[in-house]
Order: sequence, then C-alpha cells, then structure tokens
Amino acid sequence: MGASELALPARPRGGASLANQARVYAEFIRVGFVNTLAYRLRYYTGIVTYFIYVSIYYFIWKAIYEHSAKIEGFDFKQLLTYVAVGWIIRSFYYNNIDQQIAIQVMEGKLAMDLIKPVNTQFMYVAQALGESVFRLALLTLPTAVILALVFPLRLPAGALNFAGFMLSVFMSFFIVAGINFCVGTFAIRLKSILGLLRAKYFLLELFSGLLIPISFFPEVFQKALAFMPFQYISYVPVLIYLGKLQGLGIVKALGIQLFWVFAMLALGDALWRWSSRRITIQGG
Amino acid sequence: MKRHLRLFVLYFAQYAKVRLAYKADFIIAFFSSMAATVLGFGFVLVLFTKIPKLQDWSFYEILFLYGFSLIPLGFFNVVSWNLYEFGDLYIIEGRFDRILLRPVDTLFQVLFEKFRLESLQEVATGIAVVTISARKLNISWHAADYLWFVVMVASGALIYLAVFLILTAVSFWFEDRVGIVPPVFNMLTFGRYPLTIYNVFIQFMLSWIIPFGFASFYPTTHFLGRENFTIYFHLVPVVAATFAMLAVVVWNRGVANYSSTGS
Amino acid sequence: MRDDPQCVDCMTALVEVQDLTKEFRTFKRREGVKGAIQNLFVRERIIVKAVDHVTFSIEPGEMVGYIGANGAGKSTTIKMLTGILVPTGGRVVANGFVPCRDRRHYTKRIGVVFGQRTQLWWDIAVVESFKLLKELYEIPDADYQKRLGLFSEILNLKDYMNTPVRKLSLGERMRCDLAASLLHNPPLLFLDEPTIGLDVVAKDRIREFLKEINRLERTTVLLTTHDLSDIEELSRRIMIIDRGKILFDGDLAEMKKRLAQYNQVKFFLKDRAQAASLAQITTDGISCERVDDVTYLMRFDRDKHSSAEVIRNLVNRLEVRDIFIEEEPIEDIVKRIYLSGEVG
Repeated sequence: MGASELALPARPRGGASLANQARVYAEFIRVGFVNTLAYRLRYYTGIVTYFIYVSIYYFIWKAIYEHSAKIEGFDFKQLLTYVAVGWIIRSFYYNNIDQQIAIQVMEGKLAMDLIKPVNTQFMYVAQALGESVFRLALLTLPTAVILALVFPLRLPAGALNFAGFMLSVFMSFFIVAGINFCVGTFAIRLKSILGLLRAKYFLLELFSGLLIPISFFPEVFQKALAFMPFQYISYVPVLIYLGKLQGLGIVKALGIQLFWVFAMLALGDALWRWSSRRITIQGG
Repeated sequence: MKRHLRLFVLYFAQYAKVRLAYKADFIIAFFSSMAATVLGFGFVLVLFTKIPKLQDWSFYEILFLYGFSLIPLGFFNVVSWNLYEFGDLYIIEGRFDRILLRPVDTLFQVLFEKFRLESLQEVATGIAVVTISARKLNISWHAADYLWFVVMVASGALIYLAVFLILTAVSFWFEDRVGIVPPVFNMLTFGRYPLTIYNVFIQFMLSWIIPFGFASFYPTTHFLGRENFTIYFHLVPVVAATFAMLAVVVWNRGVANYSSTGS
Repeated sequence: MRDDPQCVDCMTALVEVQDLTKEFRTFKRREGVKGAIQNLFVRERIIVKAVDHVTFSIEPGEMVGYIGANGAGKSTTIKMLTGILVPTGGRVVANGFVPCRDRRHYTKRIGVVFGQRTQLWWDIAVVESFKLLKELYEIPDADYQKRLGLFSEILNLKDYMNTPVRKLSLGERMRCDLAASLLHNPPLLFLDEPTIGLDVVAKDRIREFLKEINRLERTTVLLTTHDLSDIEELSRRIMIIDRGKILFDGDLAEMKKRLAQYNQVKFFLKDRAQAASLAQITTDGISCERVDDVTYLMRFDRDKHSSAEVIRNLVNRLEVRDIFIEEEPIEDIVKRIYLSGEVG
C-alpha cells in the first residue's frame, strides 16, 4: 500500500548547501504528509479515540465535583477544559519516532538511515512534523470542534494567551519528538523495546499533566518535576490557555520551554552519535 | 482437544525458549512493562490525595477494581499480540495463506503463534493490588469466592478476547491498517472505574455492546459486597460464552471472505 | 460427462481442473497528494479476471512447469489449487478433494512452497520448526526421522539445523522450506517461484532435489516460475498462462519442435576483414546479428533452409574458424506465444 509514495526523496546534487538541505527536509515533511493520508480509517477512528478519552475523564471529574466546588483552584468547567484541551493538543504533538526507529532496527534497515546524506534526527523529526501538520487538519481541529460542541468548554483566556498557547504547543511537539528520538536510540541495543515504549507512554501521560494537573501532585513530586521537561509538554501550554499563567509568566514559561526543546534535541543527537558508533544490524 | 492442548504447550514452549534466549532483554521488557502498569495507577494515587471518595467508592475499593481489571487483561494480552498486527502481517503481507495451508484451526494458529510473555506482569501486579486492597478493606474470602474469582478472571479474559477477535476479523473485509481496534482498546479504561459514574448510555454500551463492564466492574461488585449487582455478577459467564460464540462465527465468516477475495 | 459428480472417483488424473475462473474486485488507487485525498472519500471499483476458464489435468508422477509473466494468473491458480482461494467459477479436484471445501484434510495431502514467503517460523531454529510441523501434521516418529534424515542428506541441511530461520540466506531458507513442505510425504507438491532470487548453485541444488524426490516418491510437482531454465531442467510438460488464459499446454520437446521457427548458428570469423563479405549470406529468410568484430549470430527459418545447406553456404563464402548450431532459445518461443496470444 502506497509503496510509490514511500519512495525516498532524491539525493541533493552538488554539495549540501543550506537551500538544498532545506529542500531535503521539506521533502521528508511532504512524504510524511502523503504517507499519513494513506491511512484512511485511522483518522475517522482517531477522533473517536480522543472523544472516548475525554469522556472517561469527564465522568470521573463530574463525580468528583459533586462534592466540592473547587479543587486546587480549578472549578469543574476549568478542569474539564484542562482535560479536553490537553487531549486536543496531544493529537497534534504526538508522534511515534521511537517506534519507527525500533521497527527500522528490527527489520535491519537502520543502515539505510545512516547512508542518507542528512542528519538522522532531523529526518525523523521533519517527517513527524509532516504528520503532525496533517493531523492538525484531519484530527486536531475536528476533535476540538466536536468536543466543544458536546462539553461545556471555556474559550482561551485572551488573544495574547491564545497566541502564547499556540507557540507553546508548537514547542511541545519538539520536546516530545526529542524525547521519543532519545527513547528510539535505545532500540538499537535492545531486542524488544515494547515494554520501554509503554513505560514512556504512561510516564508522559502522567508527568506531562495530561491526566491530572501537576498542582494536584504532592509537594515533593512538584518540586522534582520542575526540573524535568515533562510538564512543558501539556501542563504549561494548557495553563497559558486557561489564563492561569499571565504576562511575564507566559514569557518565562515559553523561555524554559525553548530551553527544553534544544536540550532534548541535543541529548537525542548525542545519544544517536554514541549509539550509532556501535550499531549492530540484525539479519539481512 | 487433546491434540490442540499438546500443540498449545509446544507453541508456548517454543516461543518461551526464543524469548528467554535473550535473558537480559526479557528482564528489561518485563520490568519496564511492569513500570508502565504501575504508572497507570498514578492518576488514581494522585487523585485520592485530594479527594476522600469517588462517589461512594473508597480509595482501596477503586484500587481493588483497577487491580482486578488487570488480571483477565493480562492473560488476554499474552495472546493478543498477533491480533494487533493481524491486518498488517497476516492480511496485507499475506501470512494468512500459510495459516490456511496447515491442517489445524486458523484461529488456534493465529492466537498461539506468538506470545507476549511480559504481559504476565499485569496478572502479577493485578493480584498484588487486589490482595493488598482486600486486606485493607477487611474482605473475608470463603472457599466459594476463590472459585468465583477464577471463573470471573477466565470469563473476563474470554470477553476481552471475543471483543477484539470480532474487531480483528474486520481486517478480512477492510485492508486499512489501523481500524477500529485502538478506540475500543482505549475503552478498556472505562472498566477501571465504577460503572455507576457514567451516564445511562455508556453504562448500557459497556454492558451489552462492548461488555467490558462484565469483565471488571460486575465481577468486583460481588467481592466488595455490593449486593445490588448480584444478577449481573451471575450473568458474567453467560455473557462471556455468548460473545465467544459470536466471535467464532464472525471469524469464520471472515476466513470465508478472505478465501473469496484473497486480499 | 464432466458435470456428473460421480466422475470424481473414476478420474485417473491426480489434479483435474475444469473451467477454473477467478474474478477479483479491487479499488482503483489514485496517485499523489490529490489522489490520496480523493481516496479518502470515494473509491472506484473495478473487476479483474485473474484466471479465465482454465482447464487442464495432471497425472500422478508428472512434473509440470507453469509459466507466465507477473500478474498473468499463475499464483491465483496455485492458490485455488491449494485451497487458499475459492474459485469464482469452474472446479478443481485434486487428490480426490475439492481443495477449498475440504481444506483441512486436503492440506495434509499436499506440500506447498511459496518462494517469496517462508512457511517456517521466523524466530525459531529450523529443527524446532520441523518439530512443530511434525505435530501439526501428525507425522509418526519413524517416518519423521527417516524423511528428515533423507532430506538433510540430499539438501545438506545439517549445518544450519539449529539456526533461526531469519538468519538463513535465501538459498538455505528455500532448502529448508522444501524439506518442510515434504515432511508429511504429500503425493502432490506445489511450488510458487521456488528459485526466485537464488544464485546458480542454489538453483541447481533445488532442481536436483526435486528430481530426486520425483524419482524416489513419484511426487507430482506443479511449479510456477519465470525462469525457463527451471522448466528445461525439470519438467517435460509446460503450461503457459497469460492474462488469465492458458496459451499453451503440452510437451516441452513438442513445443520446440512445433513452434520453434528458426535455428541459429553462431560463428567466429578467422579475421576482421572477412566481415566485408557478410552481405552475401544474408539472403532470403536468413538474418545475421553482430556480437563482436569476429563473432556473429545467424538465424534462419527452419522451414525454408536446412542447417547443412546454410553452413555449406557459409563456409564456402567466408573463412570461418568455429561454428555452433543451436535451437531457438525457449525464451524466444515463449515470447512469441505471449505476443500472438494464442496457439492452435
């Protein structure tokens, strides 16, 4: 299915000028985009999946708020919006670079990545970005519309907050991509990283604040999490959306987020160099 | 039947041998999946630092329910591996031809060609959580309860298997790689919380359409002494058997369709 | 007479195929970004006739070569003969079974190898795969040992019996697949492209093995291939299919005799200067093709000229060092059959 669309972009001719490099990455984004189109049902069902997630937490929180009006500064409508917006943006920033690398390793095709005249991490991230742009149109927006129609959600706290939120979500993508790439590099050494992938999945769900706001965590956890990139994936963007971060607070949050984008990508690059030095290619 | 049992043991032993050949790797896989399962409790743990009860369910009652739901799920997950990859590997890549060329039932071959051994950690975690919760709740177990427990776990696993078999069989008609399995898979999460927190529509769906309620919630009500669900509790094995039969019918129709279209 | 169901018992042929037809419904796929978006919403149905009223029969102990281009209908035929696919029309009786109806019993009496896909378990050692097959096919211990011994000797499997299948080379894997397909001693063996992607040595080994098995067990073999040398080595009978229709079915030697149109003579000139006189020999129905400065290939119509006459003519006019007479290559005959679309 779609074999012709999977064809790799042509090698850049005549040196690796910046324009050429850009064209190559643009091509990877396009390939990611077209590939994703080929999965028909996934987008119809993806919307349903996200709807189910939000519904589950809607009912749980509804049961909880029957007894109290406000918990940790969140009223029910705010918390519901927190949950819904969290899942909506997840449909954008989500990617499975780690899984893709694991599959390449299992099929013994990793060497193919190494001989391509591009930075491996950038190639994976660019392709994932292509997919994300696609999901934005076919998954994120429809999901947002449906959720907003069914559940009583709040609008963004203001134009400035909304702009900050969008920028923040864009950076979330790169933090997640960076983390996934790091996890993917472990695939090179392990025969089966399914367990590891699942552990990462649940770790991100919990510590990004997707399931429950970070401020609900015990004090010790909150302090520890402040030194980690996870809450900048979901908690921080949604706080900006809700207006729980304002003015300088937004700027500061975005700054730290930017730091984590570069930190995670740099870590991924370092891990890749380290791992690819001792690549063992399984089978033929 | 005896022959199939023998074959099952052989298949399982073969696969276990392969996995255990890389011991370190298997241990990492086992413990990282266990970490994933434990992290899954994170939401409930954090939540109950802020609230005393979810409806009239205490912390340990919720833990009991969550823990119980993992046990049949773990058993199901051991054999479910091939189901997730079925459309890709068996239909699109054509491995199903090989299945058809062998003198053993197709379903048997597909389920037992590969095992996800590390999923047994879910069973272990589930039993540990149920045991701890039961102790904290001072539940007294009679001999019959142990028997019921086994019946409930078996029925639960059968319900999961039946539901996902039906969904997998859809690949026989539609070749799209990612179908309706993921959304339904996510509905498993519904079963970790009391059915009573949902609205009537979802309660109905989780009971009679995608009967995950019969795999986790209704069984636990009995052990937690919630008498108003006794009828549902006794229905659990019946629902499991019904859905299992339905699944076999759908599967066989799918095989027939494959043979006429040869996707 | 053939419509009489009683006839199943009185037929002597091992495989009897009558008007076999298979139609597929597929969707048209559009290319590119725009096409992908269109595919998302509407898909266009088309019906393809992969196999179209095919009729033939195979006697016990025969080795039959079934050839055709990609998509000609070879694999679809094999799939119907092995019970994987249910025919749209016509019927198949093999080994006394209707394959798709009695599939599970039937599979115990046939062996199948698909060249492009292994029938073995990818992750486990070859010998373990064999043990699983022994259980699946309920092969008695004594038979299993005997046949395993025989195969590992002829096919030389000993060295990698304990290697996982995924680590084998294509040739090694194919040998294991062949052994696996014959462990339960089926009287009928289907091979779909058994030599695809193999090197010359590996091909040869497989061919020798098939001949040996055919000789020892009288195993009936139907193989598809697009390597015609497989057929020349193995089978006396050839069936050619194209666009779902059988174009030729008969003896290979007979086909050559009847359908070969020309013979060819390859000759080496004594020196380059001789080439100037070449024009003298390329008359009516004789063509000459240059291979290199001193090597030429001359083709002539078998009906119009005899080899003796052509060669006499050649040596009289040119100074020639060496001459080889060859029949028309089978590839050329087959190509012509495809082009003409039908053979009387």
